[in-house]
Amino acid sequence: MKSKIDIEIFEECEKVNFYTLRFQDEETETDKFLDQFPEGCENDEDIDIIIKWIDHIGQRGALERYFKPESKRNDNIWAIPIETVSLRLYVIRLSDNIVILGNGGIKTTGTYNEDPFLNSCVELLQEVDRYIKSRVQSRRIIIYQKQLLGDLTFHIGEKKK
Amino acid sequence: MKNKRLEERRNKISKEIDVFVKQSFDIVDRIHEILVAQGKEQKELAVLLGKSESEISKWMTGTHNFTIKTLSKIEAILGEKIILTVKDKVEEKSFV
Repeated sequence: MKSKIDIEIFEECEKVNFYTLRFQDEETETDKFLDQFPEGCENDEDIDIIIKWIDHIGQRGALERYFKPESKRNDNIWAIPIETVSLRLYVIRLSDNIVILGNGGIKTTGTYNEDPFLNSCVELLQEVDRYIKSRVQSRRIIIYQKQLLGDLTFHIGEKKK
Repeated sequence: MKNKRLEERRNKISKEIDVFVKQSFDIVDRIHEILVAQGKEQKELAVLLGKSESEISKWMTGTHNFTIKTLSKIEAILGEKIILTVKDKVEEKSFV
């Protein structure tokens, strides 16, 4: 069965717009990530670092060197880098001005592929990334400065036209 | 437009984390600036430091906790100041 998913704005900053993904009738993928790490949890400080990192990226631009390469495929999937623990928040970095925040969690395995949940987080972003590329080519989506314009609704599982 | 949920947590972030992330970003931007000015790439810095390229990439993300020893090595290799201390600033002024 196909699942409807929308790309929606999460936060607008001076140089970067942060988007997120929302399955129909669910909270956003990034809210699901934050739900895993409520205030006062063991990883509170790491979440604070991620939030401050988002602030600085928002001001300085989403330059490739600030991100941790995550996927070995030739795609735009990266992670927000946290060194102290293997905490991963996966993102699609579309440009220096557009980032789509996804979901993630603590990585306890050698690679994300070995963890079914983290693998599903990355695979979702990979699929959305493929759809965006295809729609940009067909001009159903336009990347204009820090904005994603056009048809931002996808049916995950649908065949490419 | 700020995200309400992030904003609530953002307001509770300690000054220590705030300063840490800012300094880490400032340091990596300064290193990057020097590398660009010298026409060097990150992989050359890695070779000069005897580190892997992936290790240097980890440092350049804005959340790395640099030690004074590491910064000293980078300064020595690149021949440029990365961090200016208050003392450096005072000495600079006294030359003016």
